[in-house]
Amino acid sequence: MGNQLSEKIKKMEEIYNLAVAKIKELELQQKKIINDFILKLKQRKIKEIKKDLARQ
Amino acid sequence: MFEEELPKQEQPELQVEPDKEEAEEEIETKETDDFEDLQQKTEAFESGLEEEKEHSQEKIQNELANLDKSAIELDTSEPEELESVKGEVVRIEEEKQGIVDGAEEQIRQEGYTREEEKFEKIEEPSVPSEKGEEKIEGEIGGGLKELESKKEEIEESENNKEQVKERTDEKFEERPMSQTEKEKEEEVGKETKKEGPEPTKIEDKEKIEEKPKEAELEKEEKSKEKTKKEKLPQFIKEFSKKESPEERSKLAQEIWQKRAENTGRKKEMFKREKELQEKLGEIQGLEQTVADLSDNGISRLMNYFKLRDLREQLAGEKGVYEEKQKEEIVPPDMKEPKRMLDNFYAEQKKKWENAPYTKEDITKYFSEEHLASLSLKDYALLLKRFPGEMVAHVTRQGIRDHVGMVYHTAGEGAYAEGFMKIVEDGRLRSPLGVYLIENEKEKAVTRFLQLDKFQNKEEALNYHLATLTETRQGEAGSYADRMAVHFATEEVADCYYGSEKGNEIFITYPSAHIASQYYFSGQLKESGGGYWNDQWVWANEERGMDLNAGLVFIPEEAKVDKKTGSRYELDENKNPVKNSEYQATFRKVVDSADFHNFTKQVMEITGELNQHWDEPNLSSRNQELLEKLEPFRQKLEHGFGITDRRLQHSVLDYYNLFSLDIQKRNQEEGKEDPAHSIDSDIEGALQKEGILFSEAKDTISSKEFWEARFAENPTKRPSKIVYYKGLSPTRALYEWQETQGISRKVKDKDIGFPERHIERGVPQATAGLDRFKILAEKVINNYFEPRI
Repeated sequence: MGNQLSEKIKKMEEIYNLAVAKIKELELQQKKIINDFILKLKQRKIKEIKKDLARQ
Repeated sequence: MFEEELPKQEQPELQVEPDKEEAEEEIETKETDDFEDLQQKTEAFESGLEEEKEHSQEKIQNELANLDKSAIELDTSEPEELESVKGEVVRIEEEKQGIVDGAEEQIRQEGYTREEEKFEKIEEPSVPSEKGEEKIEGEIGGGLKELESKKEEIEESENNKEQVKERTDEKFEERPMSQTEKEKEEEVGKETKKEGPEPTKIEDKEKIEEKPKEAELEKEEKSKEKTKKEKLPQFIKEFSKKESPEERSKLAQEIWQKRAENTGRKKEMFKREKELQEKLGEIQGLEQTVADLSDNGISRLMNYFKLRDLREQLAGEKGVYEEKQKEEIVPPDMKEPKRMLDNFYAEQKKKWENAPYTKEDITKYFSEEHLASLSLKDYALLLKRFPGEMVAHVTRQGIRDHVGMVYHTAGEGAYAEGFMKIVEDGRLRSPLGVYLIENEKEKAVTRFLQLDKFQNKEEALNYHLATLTETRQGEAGSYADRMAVHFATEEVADCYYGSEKGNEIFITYPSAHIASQYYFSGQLKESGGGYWNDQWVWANEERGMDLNAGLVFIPEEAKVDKKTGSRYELDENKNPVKNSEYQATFRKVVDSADFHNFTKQVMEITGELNQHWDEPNLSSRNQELLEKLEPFRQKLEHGFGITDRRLQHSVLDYYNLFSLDIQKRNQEEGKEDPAHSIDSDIEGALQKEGILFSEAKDTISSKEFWEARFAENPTKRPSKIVYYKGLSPTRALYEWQETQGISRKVKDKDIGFPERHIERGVPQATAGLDRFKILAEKVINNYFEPRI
């Protein structure tokens, strides 16, 4: 029984670790999407400012 | 080997074939524990996953907040573009949720197998498995057998009451569901789920977020409580099966009904909750539609009739929702089945205490194995039904600071570790048995025969043949004597055999155990007889008796040395150091000019005193006498600086003063007594009081000492320890019996087992003598004429 139990726990641990790793990976993806977009907005802003400055 | 050389004696029946049911139950209990463990782990993993997800979600929410802030500040984004980014982030969030759900499902498959089975059983009590039904019908004709095996489940359900409640209340979806339920849930709730979080669910979510830690703590607490909870002893279960079969069946039916009723209520609650959620969804949908259609005046006008219908519908739906909310469903009383069982078994215990018994019952319940398997509480419960008399064996642990008889003084003033050795061995063996179990038997027997004290072989042979093997068996020192474990009945013979006054450790067994399992001589019924209260028990030659079949009494509050456990200060050779300060102080009192007068006056008082002055319930006469004695006690305190009440007591003792008065007169008259002197009598007086030796300085309580020792090696810890207070071991035994309500007595001195009550010279008592004689002669020959 003991072995069976530890095997089950081991397997659960594997599933858990894998799921946590995937969550982290997806979290990074989300952050990247947001940051990339903010960066894009900033670049646009810079362009706008440059344009404005050029106009002046 | 000694064992191999000796033909086997007819052994009393000690082995009781382990009951199959018992074994099964044991396995089941083990499995239950394992599964509980697994369940805990499963839940830990699940909650861990939830936490991870929520933590991650929180971080992303912060990121999104940053995004909004940046978008406003920078003002360079198109709304669609922003929504698209957010949409992508939300989509990934759903993916995360999918991963968590999938992992949880997998974890549940690994860990919740049994839990789901359990749920199936709870959900559908009216359709028990065929196997279960047959078992119930076949074994107890009504279901109690199954019920007993489920008692733990019920208890567990109680322990997890909060969880069950959550499952049946708002947090229904939080519990692992059976497959059928899952399918139902999928069908019924598909739409609702797709519509996203609803207000109630958001509230729930907040609660859920708060819950895990609380629930975890609670679960931990309950799990601790559960491990503390003692199981119902098997003998009570068996007793109830035999003595109350009808009540058991009736109870089984009632509990099944109760469980079915509980399940029905749970289902009802679940159904209502689902309906409420659906209704709420509909209401929100309608409200949204009404809001959309009422967006502006033109729209309101254009949709006047539609809006009117919708509002009517909305009012109707709200009414239904409110009505449903008002419906009262009495929540299931999960504790009721347990209460019913507890009450039943409480009754059974009472019945047990007053039930008659047979000799066969004693033989069965007082076997070594059965007694050893019981907890202290169950041991006491067992004894309530049977003869409550007990026999006691006092151990030699620490310094033998007193002797009760001039012929029995071996080891006086010396340190011994008798109890520690018994604990290490786990068995109480006869004095010879202790040697015979050693691996190097010949060496052990050499020590036992003390051959180093003999000049030659003939002397040793003559002595041992005369006393040990040839003499009339049954006399002190004979084989039958040395092969027996010695007990005093219904009292502790600490004054003859003990070690440290106030720090005596003794072991007791029920007289019923001795009478039913071993051969014995003497009587097992009553105390008294002083030195002659010495019952000989032949515990299967060197096999001895399991310490766990008895009770170990250990003083609780004796102040003992941290390292040795002795009350006394010991030198490097573990010898006690005499308390010269007390000896000198006592001597000063005797040497004082007024001693004879002092003696005369004190003896007039203490001669009538018949209780120890520290006894709790002093008679009024003794109180009067003590008041009279007080000025003399004061004199000792202030005139001689004697503040220790034990020393005061020793000085004022009638017999001590009597003999010291004589010794002083002898000295004054120039008479010589070769056997006594003032100093020897002072030593005797201090010894009697247990203060002859200097006490340990770095002390802890005796309980602390032994607990620390057992903690170092828990497997050696005796299973039933009674820590006692006070100085009298015999009183401690009586008090324990009284507190436990053990009061049944027998008429026969052999507890109804005359066939086991034997004379000391009969073959059962001298079993193994011939083999021992051969071994002893061989050992003596080899010792004095070693082969080269």
